[in-house]
Amino acid sequence: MEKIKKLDIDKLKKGLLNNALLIILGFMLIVVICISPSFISINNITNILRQASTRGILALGIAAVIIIQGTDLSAGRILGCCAAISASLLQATTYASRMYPQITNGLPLFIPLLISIIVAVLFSLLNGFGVAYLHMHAFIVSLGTQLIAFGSTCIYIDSQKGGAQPLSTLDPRYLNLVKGSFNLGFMQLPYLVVYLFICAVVVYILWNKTVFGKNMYAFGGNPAAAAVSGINTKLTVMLVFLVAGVLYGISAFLEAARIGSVTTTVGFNYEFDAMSGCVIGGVSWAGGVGTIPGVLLGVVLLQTINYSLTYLNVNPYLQYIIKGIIIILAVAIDVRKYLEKK
Amino acid sequence: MMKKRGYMTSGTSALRVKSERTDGGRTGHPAESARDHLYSKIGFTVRQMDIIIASLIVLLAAAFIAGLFL
Repeated sequence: MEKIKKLDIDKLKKGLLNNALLIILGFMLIVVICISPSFISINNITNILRQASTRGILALGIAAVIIIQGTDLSAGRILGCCAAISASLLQATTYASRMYPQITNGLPLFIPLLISIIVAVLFSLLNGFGVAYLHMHAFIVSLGTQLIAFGSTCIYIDSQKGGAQPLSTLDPRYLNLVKGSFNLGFMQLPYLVVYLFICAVVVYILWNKTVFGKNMYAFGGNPAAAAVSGINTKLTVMLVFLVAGVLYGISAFLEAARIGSVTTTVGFNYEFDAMSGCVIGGVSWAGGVGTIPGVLLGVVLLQTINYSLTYLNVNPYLQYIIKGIIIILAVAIDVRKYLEKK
Repeated sequence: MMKKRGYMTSGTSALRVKSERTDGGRTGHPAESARDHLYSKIGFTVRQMDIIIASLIVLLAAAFIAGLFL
């Protein structure tokens, strides 16, 4: 009887430790709500969901890269570059200082989206090529790609006739497609949340119902065993980066309209927010572990914490410190889980 | 009840055997877990990791409280 009781306590202890970060962040949220009860309002929830949507799509791409034991430091800057392209092609035709005055009739919306996806995929495949064929560490390759993407964005934005000015005054059709919302009666559900949901469902099917997904998890858990069992590891890595690129492109297209004005700073540190969300959501840094609901939960929770700290006027420098500790804590808990299994 | 106890005893002894292995169960096969390879140099025990995690939680709480009052 005592042993059974001990087993129950062990189970409870294990459950608490495995979900330690979620519990801590939940506790932080409770404190925020106690300090400022007005934080729980429909308006704030809508804002959080809207902000989390583009980061969520970015995180879905990065999560797959982390699952194959990689990382992607370039995601944010790739997003910035593609956002600049999308915004420049979809400036209102009535705006005199637009980047392309030769576009007199607004382009169909899918063309800038397609171009954004193609550019993001090219950057991402550069990372994939370095990892799969040159056997470089994803950290170094993506660091290089990050600088290339940032430099390209600066040159592109600087190439305007009037010099480096923000790409703003966007096409109303574009703004409506991204910033619009469904009226649910009690709240406005942003279109962005629906786009995130669609992306999440597609990625869920890719990860869980296809051979590619199974190969991805197998490679992430044990690359040598995956290679021995006949999986084309190079193709798997390239496909992971290709899917990530598509998601970065979509995210960039949406983010440009969400913020409404694109400068060279767009995308700065986005990859860290996305990666933190992934780790908080249970994607193991050691590879082979991670789920879509976990990633979404992690991103939304992190965004809620970010939003709440800003809402409470917490010093922005301290916000960086808090976020940094949360990431280190998430990784420490992940390492502990591994040590316990061993 | 006796059966349960017997089962548990055998489980415990299996655990004891496992804990007595000094190589951590490694086979040396090339298909050794990549995760093992990645974390092979971690010199911390679970208990030490608990202390590190607890310290980080205290640090996070301190930063959070400082953020609220500064």
